[in-house]
Amino acid sequence: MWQLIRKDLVRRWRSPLSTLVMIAFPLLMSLALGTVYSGGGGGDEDFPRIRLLVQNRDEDGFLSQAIIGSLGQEQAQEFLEVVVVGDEGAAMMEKGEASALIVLPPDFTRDVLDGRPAAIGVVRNPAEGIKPEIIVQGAGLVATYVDQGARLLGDELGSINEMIHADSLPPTARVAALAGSIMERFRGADRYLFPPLVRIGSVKESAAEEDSGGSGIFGYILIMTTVMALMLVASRSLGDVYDEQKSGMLRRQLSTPVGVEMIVGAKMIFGAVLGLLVMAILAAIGLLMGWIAPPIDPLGALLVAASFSLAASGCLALVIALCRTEKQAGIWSWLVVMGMSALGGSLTPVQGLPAPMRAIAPFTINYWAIDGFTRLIFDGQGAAGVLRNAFALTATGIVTTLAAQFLLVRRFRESSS
Amino acid sequence: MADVLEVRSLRKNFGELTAVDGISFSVREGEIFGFLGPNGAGKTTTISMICGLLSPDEGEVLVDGRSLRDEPREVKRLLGMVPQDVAVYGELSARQNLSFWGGIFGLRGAALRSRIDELLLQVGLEDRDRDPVKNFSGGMKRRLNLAMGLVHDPRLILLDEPTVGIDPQARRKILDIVRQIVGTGRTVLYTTHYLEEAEELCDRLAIIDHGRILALGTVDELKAQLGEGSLLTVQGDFAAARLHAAATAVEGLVPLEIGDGRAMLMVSRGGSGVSHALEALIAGGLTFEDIAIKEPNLEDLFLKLTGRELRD
Repeated sequence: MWQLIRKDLVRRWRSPLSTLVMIAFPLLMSLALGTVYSGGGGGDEDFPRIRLLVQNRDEDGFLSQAIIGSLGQEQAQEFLEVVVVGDEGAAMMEKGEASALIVLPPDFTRDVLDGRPAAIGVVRNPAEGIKPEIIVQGAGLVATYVDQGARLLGDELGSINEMIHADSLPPTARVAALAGSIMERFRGADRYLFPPLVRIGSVKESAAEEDSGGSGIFGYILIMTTVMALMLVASRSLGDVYDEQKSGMLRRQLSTPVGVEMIVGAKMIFGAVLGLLVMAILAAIGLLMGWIAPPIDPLGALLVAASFSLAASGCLALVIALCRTEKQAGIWSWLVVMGMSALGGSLTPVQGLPAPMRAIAPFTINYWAIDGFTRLIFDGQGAAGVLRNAFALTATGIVTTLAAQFLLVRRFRESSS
Repeated sequence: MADVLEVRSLRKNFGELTAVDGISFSVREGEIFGFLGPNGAGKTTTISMICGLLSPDEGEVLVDGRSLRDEPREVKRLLGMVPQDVAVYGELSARQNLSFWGGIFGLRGAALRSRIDELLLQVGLEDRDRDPVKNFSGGMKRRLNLAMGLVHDPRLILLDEPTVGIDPQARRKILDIVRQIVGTGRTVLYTTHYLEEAEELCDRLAIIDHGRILALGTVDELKAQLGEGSLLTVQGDFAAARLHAAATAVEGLVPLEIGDGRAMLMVSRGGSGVSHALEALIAGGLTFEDIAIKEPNLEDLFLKLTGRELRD
């Protein structure tokens, strides 16, 4: 058995291109996606400010003034350079002097307060890539808030407008009554309106915290993509049996005392061993790059890695065994790897999947492997914390390996006849 | 001499097709036994059954008196199979290929290294032993293919058309190696459809077609089946029956194969000679457009036995 496994390892060592590609794939994906998700890897300050033109045709409308004022706040100035313009705004956009132009229409405030439709106009500069899109999305958000606020505080906003435009200061009692009324409105709408706002804020905060470390995203993506890459490694290793069949080596081996069971078994063990080696290399690179940080429980890591290698090898062997031709095996194993990766969290974190897909995720080996590694690396759990994962993967591995062994042995016995 | 291989009433059907039809033969220790037949005659199927790749529908294979059916692992250890297709790992070097193959048969350490050195020298690959085999020429790959079947020093070597698709020089080298192997006391079962190889190399031959052995013996014994003398082949505008009647009337002229417009006749040495035979036929009113006289060979025997040429 060892002779057969060693032979394949030496073959892979002497012709390492496909294995190197499999190692490079998760690293490149981690670098690329990690850089995108972590905001460039160098912090938000690297993102250039967006030059935004605002043309206020509502002039003294207090809502439009409030919007312009909020855009000019210190916090927004980190990202936005707001320039209030007149009719020359359109010409400036034509010359490409800004990323976008927001036009607040005449009587914007009045229309909002009177419950009439009011539209904020946005002109994008297509030459500036994602920046105008940010403005469009932001304008949409502002429109939503204004709309919601106007609906909620319609009467009170009317009173505020009157007070703002009155010649004298409003009576204290009226201001107090107005404040009390607004508070009442907000309390009533609290359940519906504020939770999403609060949630958005908290997500922004947590993202800012992650940016300070940066390694979390790279490490997580490395885990996601490594799991997928190992499935591809298993697929390639097991598909090699077809190459041996084509080259006549399988037939030649079958003329020796080595049985077909041993040849197929060795091929599956080779797939699992190669997977473990690739995983070890990727883990070492991940540690060196600071994408994953010790301490990581070694027993737990070994449990998840070994059980996943077994499961990946077994699953892919079963797919190959169920196919009738090499071509079918190639197509189906690719589809299974991609399908499991999509559903199991190798392409997108499971948390980000739609609910029906999240329900299917636990039926994939990717899910259990990624969850296991995440527990070990990010949650600081030990072997006990990943026993469930190891059990699910081992059970899957044993069942699929036995089924694949049975089918492949029968196949190659027939084909040698 | 003891029989290393004994094949008894071997039969194999693939659906409606009978690939091997109850053949029996034995191979003696230290000889090269040739299996001569055209493509599709059943040679490779027979070899596959002998080395355990195929289960026979009927019959038995004994190697050194041990039944393949009863002791498959032990019997396979006694065999060295060299397949028709070059089956080597292109990524590995010649040394690594041989090492893997030796390892499969349980060879280890110094014994294996020494055996590999010996084989590399024997097949002339000692200077290229660490190069990837994918960079080898066709002839070099063939030689390595042969060496891989010898690494565990088998009792019986099964060579399935080992010279297919290589140039005459590489073929000559392979044949020399086979002679060397037999010179060290090994036994070889050699399948081929190259008549010259079979005549040159084999101590005994079985001529096989449609899964049956048509003739078996030494080259001389087989040629003797044609009779001693010269082979006369004539072509012309004649009817088969007329030529047959005329030929049987001539002393020492034996019709081997007669058809309309073409005939093959043996002129025995004890008879009146080729010129007399031809004169007699022409005097009988037959006209010929083409006349050929040659010494008979196995091709002629095959033609006589099957009615078609070996390379058809």
